[in-house]
Amino acid sequence: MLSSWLIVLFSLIYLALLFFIAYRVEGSKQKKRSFFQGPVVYALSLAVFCTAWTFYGSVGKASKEGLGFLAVYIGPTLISPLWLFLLRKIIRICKTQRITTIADFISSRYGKNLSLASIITVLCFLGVIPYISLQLKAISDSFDLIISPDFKMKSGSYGLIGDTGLIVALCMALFSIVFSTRKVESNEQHTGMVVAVAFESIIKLFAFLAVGVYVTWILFDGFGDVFSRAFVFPELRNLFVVQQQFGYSDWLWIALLSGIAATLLPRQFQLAVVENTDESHLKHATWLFPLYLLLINIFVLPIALSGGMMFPGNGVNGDYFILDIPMQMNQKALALLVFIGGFAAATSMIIVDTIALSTMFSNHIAMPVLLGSDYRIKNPLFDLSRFLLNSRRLGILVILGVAYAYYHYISKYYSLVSVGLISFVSIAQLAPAIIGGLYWKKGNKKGALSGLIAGFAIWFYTLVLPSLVGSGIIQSDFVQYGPWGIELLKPNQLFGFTGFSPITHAFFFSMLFNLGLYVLVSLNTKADDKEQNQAEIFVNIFKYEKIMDAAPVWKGQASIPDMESLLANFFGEQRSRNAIRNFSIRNQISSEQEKADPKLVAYVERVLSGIIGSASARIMVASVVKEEEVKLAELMDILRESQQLMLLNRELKRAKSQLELANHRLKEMDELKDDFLATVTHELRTPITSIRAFSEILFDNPELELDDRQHYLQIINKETERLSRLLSQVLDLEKYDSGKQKLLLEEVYVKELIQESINSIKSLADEKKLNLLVDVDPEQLNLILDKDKMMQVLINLLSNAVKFTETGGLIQVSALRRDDQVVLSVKDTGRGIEPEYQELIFDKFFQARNQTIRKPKGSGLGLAICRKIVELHGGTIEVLSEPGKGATFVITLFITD
Amino acid sequence: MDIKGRKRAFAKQKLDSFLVNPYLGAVNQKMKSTKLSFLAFFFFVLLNYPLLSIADKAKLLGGLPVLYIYVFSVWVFFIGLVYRIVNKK
Repeated sequence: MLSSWLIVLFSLIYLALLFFIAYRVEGSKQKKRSFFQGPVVYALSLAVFCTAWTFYGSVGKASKEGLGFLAVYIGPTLISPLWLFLLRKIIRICKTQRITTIADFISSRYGKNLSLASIITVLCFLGVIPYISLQLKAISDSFDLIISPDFKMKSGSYGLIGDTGLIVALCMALFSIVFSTRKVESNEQHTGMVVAVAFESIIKLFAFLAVGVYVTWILFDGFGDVFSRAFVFPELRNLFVVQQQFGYSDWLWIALLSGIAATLLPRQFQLAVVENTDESHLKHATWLFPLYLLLINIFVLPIALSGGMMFPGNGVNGDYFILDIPMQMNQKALALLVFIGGFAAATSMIIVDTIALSTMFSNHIAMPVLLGSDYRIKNPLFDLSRFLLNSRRLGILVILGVAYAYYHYISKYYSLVSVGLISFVSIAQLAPAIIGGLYWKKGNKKGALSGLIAGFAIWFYTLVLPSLVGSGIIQSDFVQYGPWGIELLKPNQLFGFTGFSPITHAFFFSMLFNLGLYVLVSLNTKADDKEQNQAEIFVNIFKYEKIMDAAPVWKGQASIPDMESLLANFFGEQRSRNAIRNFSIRNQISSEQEKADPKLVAYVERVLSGIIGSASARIMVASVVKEEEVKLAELMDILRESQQLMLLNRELKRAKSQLELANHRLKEMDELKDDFLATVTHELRTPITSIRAFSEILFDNPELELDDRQHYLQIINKETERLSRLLSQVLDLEKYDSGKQKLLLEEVYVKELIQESINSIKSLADEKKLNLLVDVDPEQLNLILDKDKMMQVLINLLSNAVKFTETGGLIQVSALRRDDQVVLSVKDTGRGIEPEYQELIFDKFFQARNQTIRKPKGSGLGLAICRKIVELHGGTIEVLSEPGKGATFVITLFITD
Repeated sequence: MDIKGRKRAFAKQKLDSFLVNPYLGAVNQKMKSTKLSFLAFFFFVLLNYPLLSIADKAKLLGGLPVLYIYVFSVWVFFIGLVYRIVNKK
């Protein structure tokens, strides 16, 4: 027994922590938020699927029916990989159409139909509110239990603080109001709430694992010990299996049912779709979510078995074994942790479901009622946005109030599990309309509506009515003998069918009629234009999403001031005007004229949808414009045209960028040409200047000595030679550049090639007393190349080496084969080349342009030509050098067969 | 440009056209979806009657109930496979 004050204190601390987390996250900077909006938080928030029903009820169910309880988690596990494409499509639709509730999703798909949205809202209320009250019951039961001295709940034994359920309901209402009704846009994401829910998921998992570890390894000696001891008791041995009556069929249908529920329950839809910030998070959720389910279930059976051994005879409710065991062992801290874990499981569910349902309430019940009445016309100054927020707050209070009343008056007659599954079956009724709506264009409003109504009617008749028997509202004869004694209509045995448990029975028959009517009615009725348009967009969302802005699915007349005043209802005049101006600029439409562009009207309707739901938005827009129906054929035309326009635009853009690139390259080449010309003319002028100077001297001084005359003529001759060499090199280079130069390929012995090249510079080398070493390996190495051209390269390199090597130095020429490469190198012991020039020396006229560095000893085109020749052979040329230690020119050629 | 360089450039161009191909992503996505659907279906069969009933016996295997071992190991295996498929480039 723990003191009730302690429990209350810890619960309040925990709630304060939740408020604190949500508050801090909401106020945090964008940078930090990116973590909170990451995939792990997303997957953890989806674990809101595990409510108090999982936390307490799984053990309870396992202690009665054995491993059969796992079906509820196997189903979602098997469905979750399908989310990757199923939820992706739903998310994409909701983002482009600004849909924020599951009711709005269905209503929007079937022509933005108001009655469909309202009906689904009512049905969700009926299905989910008992489930919320179940959470209140779990909290209050566990509270009563933990403060009781003998592990037995005393119903109605309220602690010091009065009614626990009521207090919790009020706290949850406060949380939901604070964190969900701050802004009118319901498509605004509530990151604070999501992170708080993810945090609760961690707490409940931690608490459950803590008890599991305690039971398995501290009370017992590991898994084997728990199981082998329980094996002795026949009634516990039966929990090892699912072989109950209806065991396998229950397993199958309940797996299917809970898989659907894990995808479509309002709280799952809210977190998985509305609060999704990035589709790629689905990728991680597909395996993280099943992993979470696995972890939270792994200790269920050991705990149930040890509870069964600890409390033999049915005195203690199995639903609360997880709390009873630590209390029995006087582990107060652990008991407190379990209580908080269960509290977390319950509160997270209550918060998210309340928020989801309250949005439905304000958008699909309150707003339509207001829009349908003439109240707004009589009161033109009526503040719509305040009405919307207040109706959401009211919705939260109503939901929790009804949940509390249900808990107080009715739910005491149930165990935890039954209410949960009843709720699952009700939400499963949405599946045909949603899945059909996503993939089947022919599915229409009448089909969806009739299927839904039939499904819900059967659900109500086969599950809800019988469940009220215990409370005395319904006579037990009704279940036992059927209404008015008609056996074929017995709610648990429709048409006399007895092969299913009540839940499976209700699930099967409701889905049979739901799906059957949806398909049959859809096939036999015609959808109106609006419906067909929406069907086209929903089914082919990936094709159309990009052009939604550009393609207005709307025809008619509207004025810009009217559009502005529509938005002003929720955003104020200034913001609305800005929004409209920004949209106009973005889409290049005029916002000056009085008449509104169809794109603008479509935009305003989408923005309104994000606030009040698509059906209400439709009504508001329709109230101020004169519109015409858009036929499906027209829609297709509009969409196709804008798609083509988009493609054309893209094509144009690509062509433009290519053109720009070509232009850029041309300019570059032009510059290069200019540069080249300038350098060439400069190079030409130097010899011409000296030729002219010396010839003038000769002309002006006929009396010059013969020796002098000879000397000057020799200079003139040399300069002329230099000139013609330069010109022939320039012409050469031009040939290589333009690609006109062809190679005359032949088989050449490398040794011979090197020897002949050396012969032509031998006299120069001897003059400077240089040593020449040649090394060819293998000796018989041969290559296919243009011999003259390659000799030109080698001679150039060799004469450079001779030029730059001091008297008595060493020049090494080598040719080595490495795999499919031949490396030719010319190594000298000259002054070397600075690293920053090692690449530049292969540029045309580099030497000429850098006369400050060294005195020119050539035209400056030699190496440029060498590089051209080597590249034409498919090889590379580079220089390796350390200043002061000589240079090595390396030519790499590839042997090609 | 030499032969090798040309080959390299060609390969790069091919790679680029692959990377920017807007349909490639969709094809990949579709492939993954098919794999995941098949996986879900296959494990649905593994975890249902009649295969489930093979392990559904009140017996211990190495100290653990047979069904407990079967369901949880198939479960772990399933999660591992889903992880591999969704994270494949």
